[in-house]
Amino acid sequence: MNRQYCTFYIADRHFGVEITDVKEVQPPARCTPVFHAAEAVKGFVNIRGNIHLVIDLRTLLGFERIAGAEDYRIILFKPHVGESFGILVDGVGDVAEVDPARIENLGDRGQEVQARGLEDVRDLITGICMLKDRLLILLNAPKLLKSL
Amino acid sequence: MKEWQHSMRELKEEFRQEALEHLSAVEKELIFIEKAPDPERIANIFRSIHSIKGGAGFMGYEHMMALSHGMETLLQTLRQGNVKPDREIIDVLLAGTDMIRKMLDGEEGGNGMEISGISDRLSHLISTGCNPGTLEKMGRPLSLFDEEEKDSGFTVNQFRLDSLPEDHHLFHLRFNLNHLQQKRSIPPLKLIRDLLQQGFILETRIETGADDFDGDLLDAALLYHILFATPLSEAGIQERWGPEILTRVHSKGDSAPVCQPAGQPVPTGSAEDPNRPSASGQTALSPEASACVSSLEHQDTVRIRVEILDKLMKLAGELVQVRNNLLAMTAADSLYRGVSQRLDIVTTEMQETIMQTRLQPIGYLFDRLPRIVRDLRAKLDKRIEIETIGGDVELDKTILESLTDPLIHLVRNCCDHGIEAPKIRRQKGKTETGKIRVRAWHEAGQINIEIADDGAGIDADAVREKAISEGIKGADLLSKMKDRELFDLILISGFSTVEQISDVSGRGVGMDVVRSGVERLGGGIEIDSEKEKGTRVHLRLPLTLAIIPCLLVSVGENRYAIPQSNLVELVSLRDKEIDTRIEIAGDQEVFRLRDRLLPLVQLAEVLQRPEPFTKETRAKICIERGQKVKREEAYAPADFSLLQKSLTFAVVKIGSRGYGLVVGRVLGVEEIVVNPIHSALKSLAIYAGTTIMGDGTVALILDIEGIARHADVQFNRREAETEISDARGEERQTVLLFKSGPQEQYAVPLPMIRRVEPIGGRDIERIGDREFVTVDDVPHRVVRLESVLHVSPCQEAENMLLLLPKHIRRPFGILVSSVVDTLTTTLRLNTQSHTEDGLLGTAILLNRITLFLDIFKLIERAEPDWFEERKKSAPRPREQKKILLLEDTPFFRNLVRGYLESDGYKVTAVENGQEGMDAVKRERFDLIVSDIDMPVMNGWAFMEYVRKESAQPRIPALALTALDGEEDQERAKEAGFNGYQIKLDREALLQDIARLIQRPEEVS
Repeated sequence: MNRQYCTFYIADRHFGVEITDVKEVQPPARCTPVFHAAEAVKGFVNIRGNIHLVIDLRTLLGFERIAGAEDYRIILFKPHVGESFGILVDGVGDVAEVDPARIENLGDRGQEVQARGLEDVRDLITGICMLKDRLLILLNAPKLLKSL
Repeated sequence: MKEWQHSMRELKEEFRQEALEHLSAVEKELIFIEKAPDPERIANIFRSIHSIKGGAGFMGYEHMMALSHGMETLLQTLRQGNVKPDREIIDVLLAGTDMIRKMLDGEEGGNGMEISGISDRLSHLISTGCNPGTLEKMGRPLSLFDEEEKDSGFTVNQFRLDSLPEDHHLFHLRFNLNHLQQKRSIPPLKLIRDLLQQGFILETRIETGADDFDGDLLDAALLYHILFATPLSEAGIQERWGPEILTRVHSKGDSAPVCQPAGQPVPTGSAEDPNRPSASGQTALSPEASACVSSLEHQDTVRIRVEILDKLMKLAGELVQVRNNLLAMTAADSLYRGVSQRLDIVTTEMQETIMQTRLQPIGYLFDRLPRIVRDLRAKLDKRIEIETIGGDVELDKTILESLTDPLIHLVRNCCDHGIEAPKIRRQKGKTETGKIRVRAWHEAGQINIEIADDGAGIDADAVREKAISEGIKGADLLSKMKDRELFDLILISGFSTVEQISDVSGRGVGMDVVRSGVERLGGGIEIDSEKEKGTRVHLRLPLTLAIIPCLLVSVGENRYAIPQSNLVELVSLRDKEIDTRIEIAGDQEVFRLRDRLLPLVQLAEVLQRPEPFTKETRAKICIERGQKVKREEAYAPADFSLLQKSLTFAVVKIGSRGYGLVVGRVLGVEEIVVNPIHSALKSLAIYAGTTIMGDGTVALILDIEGIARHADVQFNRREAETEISDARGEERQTVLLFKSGPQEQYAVPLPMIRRVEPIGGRDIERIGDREFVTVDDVPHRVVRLESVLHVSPCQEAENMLLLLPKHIRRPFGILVSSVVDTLTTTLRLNTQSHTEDGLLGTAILLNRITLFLDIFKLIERAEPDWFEERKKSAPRPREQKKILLLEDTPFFRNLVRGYLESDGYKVTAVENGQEGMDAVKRERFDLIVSDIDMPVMNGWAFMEYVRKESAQPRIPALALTALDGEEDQERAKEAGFNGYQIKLDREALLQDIARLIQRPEEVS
């Protein structure tokens, strides 16, 4: 049975998280910055009366912060992933159907990871998968919160 | 599968909650029956323990079941009046409740826990308490058989059977729990509760094919066997619970069934309407069963999960926000105003009602206190009684839970430290039995709790001594504190006056925990005590935590909420006040608020600096403030500069201490709904929670105590202009390092600086051979170091700085090219290698020779005219006058000595009062200048000696101190000083000295 991944972009790289972890995708909203928090904490956002912590995935993955991108999105996760939180991404792509057999673990694809500047965040990556035209990097959603 | 596991978890939690409620009821009743055995209370206890046993059996908690069974048996003997509930029995029963409580919190209901100790005690008491016949009955197990003589699998002892009420029959009930739950939605615990209301569950067992109780239950048949004694008939049971199998059982060997056949037919009424037993049904019930029925009838309460209440509370909170939104939108529109006002009223009322659902009587907590006192009484061998008043006062469940530990701690304190041993009490003429009174009442929207005892009270002198030995405060400061203020010290961490550490209390942790616990709840604590009369601790708590009034402030574009409970007042400064009324004490910005120095913390700085503050951080902030104001103005839009410059701070309190939190803007007061902060950010000390504002954005609630800790606020800077850090008297000073010319590095002690003002090179205007810069509309004379010292000329640049010193009457500044750093260092000035008038000496700082400037000398060299006035008014006396100078810190000693000598006095300098006394005995002086805060002997004591015992009781004397306040001045006068000067205003000091020496007749 194929697994479905919600895909998104960070710094022109293509990432995915399991769709069963994702609650919803939100358009940009005003984030309240939290001073003293880790650099990757973008801030708090109110989604229909519930306060969510937003992680700036660019910063978490070691890319430069960009200001004022118009089409960025916030992906919110379901409660079982971690206490109400979401990630800020450059943009959201399609849902990708992936045959689990085609997911390769990092050891075999070390070079690709290195080439994409993700060597330092290997822990967050569960595997990678070659799609038709590009490489999809699969992230472990619960670890994103824990890594703060 | 997950759902089932989830429901198992819920079930366990439900059982736990219920059992805990039973236990606290049991505990309370046990204390009562120890004083006066009351059959009804014993029956209550029995029922509670019995319920726990039933539940534990179902949950598979075998040890808990065995333990509660033992307790039940012991209670049974009490019930039958065979034994009186003496202390030993109550002890073991209490120990049993403690054990069950522990088991409830343990893994698998405490199945792994050792209970043999307590079981042995129980069976010992049972065996000694019962007559041989009873014992024999207990030891005789009977197997039970159904009507077809098939073994039911249950055994029960004769005693147990005999103690059942006469009209009860035994039934073997079998329920398939899966059916019950899934098809008929009857949760197992409800079944047990219902059964217990109609009879006794003697034994239970679970039969399942599943190996893992948690995992496989869903699929496997789960048969629950119950041995049930009840006055109901088969039909009645079927009607109520419809068990899958129902058989009547009796013990083998008895010719007659165990219980008498039903005396009368079961009234159909009770079967038809299980909720309301008919009158005839009631007559058939045993006393305890009828008690159950009556509680059934009065069931005007419903058990609701706290989660649901929390959800409701949250929704109410959101509604409040929507209302706030709407009110803001419709304020101007008369058409909608009526509607929105009604919404306002309804919302408020609803919010209050929902809040009430979370309220619980404080009696729940009070009920636990007698037990604690009872245990301590025995342990401490004292006689103590506790009285609780106002148990019906209600407060929020969350607050109640968080209040438990602090309150218990306070009561323990009363028992341990407060109430004396009976013998001592007798000697003091008190009753042998000490009294503790705990009282709760409502007042002004707050809950007040007072814990008072009639014990020994707190020894204010012991607190004082302890504070001195711990170095918490200086001796002279302490001597001036009122007792009430002194007691606040007890709330500081690590403070305990009890010499002997006991396992009850007195470890020096505790009172600070109590304080922080109470303050976390938005409350306050006060201690009042009279020696030998007793101690009174007063707690004030808010009614609820969920919605609190807050002051909203902004820093930059972000909003923050300060809980009103922390807020004292707001202070706003305008224009010049900002520069003149904020001072720097050591490395802490302070504001003089009604004769009290209030430390200031800038919220913006706190937010910008994730690392906890150090001395260096604070010093940097002091220096940068002036520059920052300038920079912000430069960036501000043009019309902004038309506005007046202003600075606002909130005076906030933590216990009895306070500080000023400088904020950007004050937005107003609002009732906000508190959300806990996200668990990933729990470690951030400066936030207490989050909230959603009227416009939908999130704002952070500030933790006032956390901020104080983060900023390391220096609360006691009254005496701290100079700090002495170690016993050797090595003096540490925070100094500002800066450069003027390209070569030299300079330093000035930070306490001597009022401000560092950024100026542009073009701002300097020349008038004749003098230069001026306008600061705050006042032309300031600019002094270049190269014009008064032999140093390299100041580097001209676009941006330069002007150092504005303190205690200078005339507007004057030293031109500086750049600030290097601030640092705290041990001052050992070398006065040999490079001396020049205007320099105090040199030191090696940051690996460079650094010149310490003597600011007063510099001014004098630059503007000799400024000092002519004094010299004219106080011409140098014909013969040289002798001054005795007492000053412990070498830096100030040298500085003051230098000033005095340059004015032509002969100076004898000593380090403390003791040395001063020796000097006075040896020599005659014309004047004394003395510091106050000195080691060995302070200035007060020295002065008293001089006035009362020395050969020169009328010698003029001047106090020179960093202590500043009317009280201190008053005190100086009382001690016999003729004048009072603050470190360090050279001109004022020299003028005063000249005046006193010239006109000794003023000295009385």
